Amino acid sequence: MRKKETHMKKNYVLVLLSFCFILNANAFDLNLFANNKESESKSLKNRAFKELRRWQYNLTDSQNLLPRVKSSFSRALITFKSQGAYCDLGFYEIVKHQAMDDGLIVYEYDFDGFVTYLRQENVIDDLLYMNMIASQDLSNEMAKDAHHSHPRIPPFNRYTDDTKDVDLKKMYSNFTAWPNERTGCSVGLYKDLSLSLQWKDKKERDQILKKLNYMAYDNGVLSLETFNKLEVIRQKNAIDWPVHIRNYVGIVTKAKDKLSPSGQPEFDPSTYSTKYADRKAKLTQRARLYRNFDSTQVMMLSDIILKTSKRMDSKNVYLEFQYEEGPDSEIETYVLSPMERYRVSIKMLRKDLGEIMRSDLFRNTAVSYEDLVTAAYETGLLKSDELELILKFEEFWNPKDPKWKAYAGFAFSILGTATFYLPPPWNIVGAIALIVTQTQLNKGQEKPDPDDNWNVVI
Amino acid sequence: MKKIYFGFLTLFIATSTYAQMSPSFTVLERKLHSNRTIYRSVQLDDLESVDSFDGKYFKIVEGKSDEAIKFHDAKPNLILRAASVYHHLTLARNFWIEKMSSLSPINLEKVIIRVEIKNLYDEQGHFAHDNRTPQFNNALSIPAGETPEWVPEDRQHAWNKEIWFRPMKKIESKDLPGLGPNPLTVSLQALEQPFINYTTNRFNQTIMEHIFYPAYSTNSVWGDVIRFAGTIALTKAVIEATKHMDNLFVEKYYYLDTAMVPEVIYHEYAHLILSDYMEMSHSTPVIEGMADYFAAALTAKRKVYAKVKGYSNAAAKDTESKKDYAHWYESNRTSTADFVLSVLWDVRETLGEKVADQVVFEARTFLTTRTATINHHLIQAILDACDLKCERPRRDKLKLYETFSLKGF
Repeated sequence: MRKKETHMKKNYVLVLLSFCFILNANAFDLNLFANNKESESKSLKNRAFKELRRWQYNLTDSQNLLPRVKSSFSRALITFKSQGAYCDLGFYEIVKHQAMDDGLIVYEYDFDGFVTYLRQENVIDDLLYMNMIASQDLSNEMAKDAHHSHPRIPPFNRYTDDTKDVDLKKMYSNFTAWPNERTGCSVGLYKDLSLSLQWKDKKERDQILKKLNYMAYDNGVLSLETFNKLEVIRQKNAIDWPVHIRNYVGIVTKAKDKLSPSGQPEFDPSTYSTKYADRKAKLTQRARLYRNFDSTQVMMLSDIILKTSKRMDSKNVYLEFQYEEGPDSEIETYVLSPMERYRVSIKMLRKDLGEIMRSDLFRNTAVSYEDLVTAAYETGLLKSDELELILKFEEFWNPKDPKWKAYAGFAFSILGTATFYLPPPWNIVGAIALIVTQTQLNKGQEKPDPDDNWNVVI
Repeated sequence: MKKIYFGFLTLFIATSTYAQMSPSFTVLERKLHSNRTIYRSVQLDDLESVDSFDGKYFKIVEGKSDEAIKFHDAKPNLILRAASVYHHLTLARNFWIEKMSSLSPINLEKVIIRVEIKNLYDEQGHFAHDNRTPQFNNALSIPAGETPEWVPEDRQHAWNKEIWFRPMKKIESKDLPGLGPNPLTVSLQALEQPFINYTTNRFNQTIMEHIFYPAYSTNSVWGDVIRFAGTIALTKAVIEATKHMDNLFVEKYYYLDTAMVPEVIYHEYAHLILSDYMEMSHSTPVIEGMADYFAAALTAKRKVYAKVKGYSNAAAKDTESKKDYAHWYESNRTSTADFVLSVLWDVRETLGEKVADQVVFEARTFLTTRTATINHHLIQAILDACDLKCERPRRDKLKLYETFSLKGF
């Protein structure tokens, strides 16, 4: 009898372990979503804090809040991972409903406050925060406009060269019924639709989409409800969001902190990642990376920095000249000094950057040096205190020569000639003065130019 | 039992009294935040002898003698030198043990310090013959050695590592080897030939104008001849005159009493510590620069080896010298220059005092050859040492690359 009990206990443990294993395999690591890269929030505004206070006020139980919130978010991630598609609106819905089930959101409008709390406590970063807030906004707007009785003012001149030959049924085939946000993503599908068109800029794309939406509705391809929802997506610029959840999850799970020495996310926030790369679009360096590249590209960009680092640390670098063909040919070998090795590595970094931009994987994508550095930081290869040093590399191929120096060079060349033609013996005095002045100008913390330094080859 | 206690008490009092009564000596020191020197009375630590400069770690002797200098020697200057040397060596030893956490000073056998020694060092016989060129105004550290087997038994001799301080001697600066012309002369000489060529061409042109276009010539031929000849003569005269202006650039006499310059003492002791990897018998820019670095680290002053009134008028070395790298700094002739010191000091400013001291010290383990160059080996050694001693090697090496780049490497 006792034997049987022990055997059953063992079985329970095994089942429990298996369950834990399955649960674990189906969960995203919460740490991957946690903010460990951004030293400040560019998205938390005063309004968000008001929402936060209201959410906290409405909470019935605020004991052990952070562990409960984390746990709820973690459960939402498990549900999210089990789905076929990673949709922006689907993710927002899952997080909201999970929080409501867990008693962390009392009223639906408290979602803003809940997400702000997640961001404030670094459970999520700015990119995910912005995505969830925008998703909520989009979802609310769609719900409001879905049953709008009249379509908005029809666009003028609908049948243009861009629109008249479009097979509307084929183009809107994904929208005959509104996509389920757990299996097919409305925003993603509409983005794919926009990419199948040809346009010069976003403004033109917007005009074409506006016409096509109306034409599809007018021809009975789209229902009024679907038309209204698509118009909300278009008007809210949802297809241009800096970060869509699918790409975000891809980078976070396949690239983020994958090259850090420990292989684990480490708390190492930097000011660089939240610096605006595009002030007009309010895109931070990190947001630009997530918008323009996928996880494979991020790893490839990061790999360039890794390769540069290895080159710098290499023990011996040679320059070999084989004067003629054949094994008996005379060979001259020049051993590069550590600093020459350093400069070669930086110059090769630039070459690698050019090559990667020409590769198929990066076709039509402009890669800046800042992107490269941001990618290396995102993968954990670079630490925050190394960023400033690495960013200086760019000065090697884009020297910031002050204008006064260029003017001074010009003035000296004129002055030098003029002094030579002064009547003797004054010309010699002028020449000495010139040498002394130039010597003084060349002093200071100015970096000697390797091109003018005959002591080095590279 | 009471007797035993009493015995211990007496011994304790006697020892304490002896410690309190250990003699005071006047030594020369630099002021705390300046290069000016002062004479101060100090008690010397770890003396073993009661009447001579024979301590636990150092023994100060005169010339080739094996006997420690007596406290009551007839030559007061000799006592000042011996006391200063002993005092500063003790400071240097403490620095290496306490700040550098080095075990080398502890493992060193008692070091013989020779002051006022004129003999050349002989690898096979310790001292070269007295008749061979007597040495002045410098100091050196010598490696341990012994006479070869073929030397007769009565002259067989072995010695440990030693530091030698030469006597001071006033030498006219113009007699110093390798001083060369002064910078003004060098500058003018560089301009001389182009200027004379130009003047000669102008003269030829003027003569041609006189012959073929006399109507256009306003001056007389002789007037022009005198003017151009006068210009060339004036140029030559100015250049010749500058050759006699050495006094503007160097003092008339040169003298250096190495035993009275604290940094020289630190420098020589650093050679002893670094000698586990860096040979003492060679004076290369890298080896000397490393020793300079630790002398400077110990004094914590921007300029080291500054003048000492009455004992040294040698030029100081500047830790913050702005010179950029050039090939000639690799030459052994420039081993007394301050370029390597300034490079290593930049490392200190980049990495911070504590880390940099350890990095530079560790770098010696990668600089084992006497042919180690600054551009290749020293830079590489610093980078390799940073891998071992820096807090964040990759970040700190990037900083170092930037620093070396600013130095023109």
